[in-house]
Amino acid sequence: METEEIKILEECQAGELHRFTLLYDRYSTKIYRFIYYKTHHKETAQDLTSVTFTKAIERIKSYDKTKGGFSTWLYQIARNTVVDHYRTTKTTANIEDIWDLADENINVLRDVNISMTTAKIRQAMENLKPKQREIIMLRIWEDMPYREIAEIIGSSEDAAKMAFSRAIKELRQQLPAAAFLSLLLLFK
Amino acid sequence: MARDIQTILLELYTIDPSLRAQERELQKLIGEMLRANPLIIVDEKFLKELRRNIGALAREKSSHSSPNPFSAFSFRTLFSKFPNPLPLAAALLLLALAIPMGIVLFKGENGIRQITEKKTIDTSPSITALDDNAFGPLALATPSMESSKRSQGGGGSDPAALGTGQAGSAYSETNPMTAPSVADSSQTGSGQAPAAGFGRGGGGGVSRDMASPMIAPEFYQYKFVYKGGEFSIDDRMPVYRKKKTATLTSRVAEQIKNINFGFLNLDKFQNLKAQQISLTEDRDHGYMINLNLEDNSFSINADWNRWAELQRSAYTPPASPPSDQEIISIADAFMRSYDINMSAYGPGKVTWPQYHIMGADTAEKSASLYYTPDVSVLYPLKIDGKTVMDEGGNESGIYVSVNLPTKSVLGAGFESNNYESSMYQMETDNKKLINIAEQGGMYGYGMYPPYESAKITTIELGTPTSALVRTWRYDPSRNTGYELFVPALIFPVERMINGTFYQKQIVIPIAKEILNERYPFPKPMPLSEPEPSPTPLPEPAILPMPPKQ
Repeated sequence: METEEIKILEECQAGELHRFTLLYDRYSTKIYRFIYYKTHHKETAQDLTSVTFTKAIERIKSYDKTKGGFSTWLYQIARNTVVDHYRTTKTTANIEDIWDLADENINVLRDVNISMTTAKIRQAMENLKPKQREIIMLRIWEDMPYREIAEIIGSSEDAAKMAFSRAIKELRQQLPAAAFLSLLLLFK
Repeated sequence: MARDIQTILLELYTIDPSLRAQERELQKLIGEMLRANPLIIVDEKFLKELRRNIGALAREKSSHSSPNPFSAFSFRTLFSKFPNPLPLAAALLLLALAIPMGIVLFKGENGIRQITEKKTIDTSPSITALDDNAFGPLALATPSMESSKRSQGGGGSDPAALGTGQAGSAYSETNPMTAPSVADSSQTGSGQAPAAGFGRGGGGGVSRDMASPMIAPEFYQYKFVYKGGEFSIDDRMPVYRKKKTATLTSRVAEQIKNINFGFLNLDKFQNLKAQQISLTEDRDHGYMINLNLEDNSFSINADWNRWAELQRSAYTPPASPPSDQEIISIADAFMRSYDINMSAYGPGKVTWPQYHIMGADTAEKSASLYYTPDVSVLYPLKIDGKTVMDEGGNESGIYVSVNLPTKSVLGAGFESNNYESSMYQMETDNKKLINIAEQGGMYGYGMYPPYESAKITTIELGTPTSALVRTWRYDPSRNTGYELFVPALIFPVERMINGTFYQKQIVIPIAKEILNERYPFPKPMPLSEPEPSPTPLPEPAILPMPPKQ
């Protein structure tokens, strides 16, 4: 965590909460994107982003820099906010994000801002476990280092790397041979 | 993207070397995953609105953080402790009547009535959104004056006559006098590099009348070249104006009127308003505070009479100058100790004097140069998350003067941060904006054609970023000036070839009305090349008259 960010956090925890807007400027777009990956719905992503930052400012005094970086802490709040949202709005308990609702005829492609190049990738992602999917999204789409991913999902860095490797293998296996061959021909 | 695929593949091979056997398939898969990254368009309006809400929540939580000693008090609790509440109620009623009577009757020393109420001013930044074009025309020239505009040469022209009434010229490197008009920029063609402008730096010349020439200074010109990438601009963006928040001028004047000065009866004056108040701390190392109640600005400066160290004429620089971080910490601590709200500003940065910058990067390297005991820490102003620049390309904000020998703040000026915003039309033609940048920006350093004898300094400009520029406008109908913060493009100076340029960035306000006010630039008067030195005439220069016959 850079020195300037530590200083801002210390000032916020000392009561100068107006400095929190500097942290907001730094992370608002990233958190919005992260939540959007998991919800694929603009209005829901906006609401949950708002809830995330509200929770962050209310709990800022409980943040402990010895336990991890501020961005990791913020991503954890965002992640938990999304999980809480789907668990309270749907009866099925084991829902972590919109991908888990694919079997309820929820079309992940409904939002006009999304453009997935192949439906096969989407199907394969749906079949992954939520943590695997999350690691894939954070590593490939958000270019986040494994150390930070590990802190967000609550595991070790080595475990996060192994999980990423297994997820890639599963994606590779889930894509049928014919479809994969067509992919190779398409993108040769 | 190729770099990202390789990075991820190498990571996978480190985790599981057996995956190398599937390199071709994994390469395609990861490439496909990267391409499948959803195009997420973030709604800027939502982010700004949320920022305002977060700021309001922060203010609310800050005001509630102090424990309220009366929070547990209630009349019900009080009366419940007494079996017969009537005597208590009577006593409270008498007290309630006595307090206002006491205030009316009480007169302290010199007839000053006690001010029993303390007003809290919220100094947090705020922006009030108004309707579109709410500030009226942004351009200084009025439409009725368009027909009276005339072509202007160099400086000294009537500002009201400048405007868009004439076609300007962009000067190309190959033929400065015949380059196409900027108004018809399509002629430059997509395959051509944009015309580079030339700027005029210093100048000199030789008077014809002098027998021996003066030594002319070196004649140099600037040539600006855009080397950046693509950029896009929203067609409508908010322009900001300081909101007048003179809320205390009458109240303070009313309080001061109650003072019996003995030599002046203020009650005889009507409708008094307090404009400025000056206060001084009566202590060693104290400060003077000047409050401007008309715009809620204030300044704090060291009272030189009470700072003995500052009155010494000789100054010896320290052996090891303090670091930038230490200097910034002094300024930060000063702000905190006086509860000055800095939420509208970015973190502080030390601004070293020019000779430091040109001769050395840090104080340590500049030991052989003249060493100033005072340096400034700049806190850049931000409005709605955007940095505010001045027209010279420098960040604008609060400058805090720090005295290095005493490690103390000598002074700073603060302004109110309440704004109004209104949407205005922006210039979205990239070619036009790049053309202006290649002529040196809004002041047209680069609009002069190149001269043979000039030394050309080439200045390469990078991809612009978005910011706000602080600019002054004049309203002739009210005979007042006012400040606007206008969306602008900031072109960084990335390289200087064959010379130096004093600005680090070129600033171009992109509000269409303001841009069209100055651009296209008027054709300058052509300058003559320096004259060769004249051949001295033999003495006497005038032959005597022939004698009369």
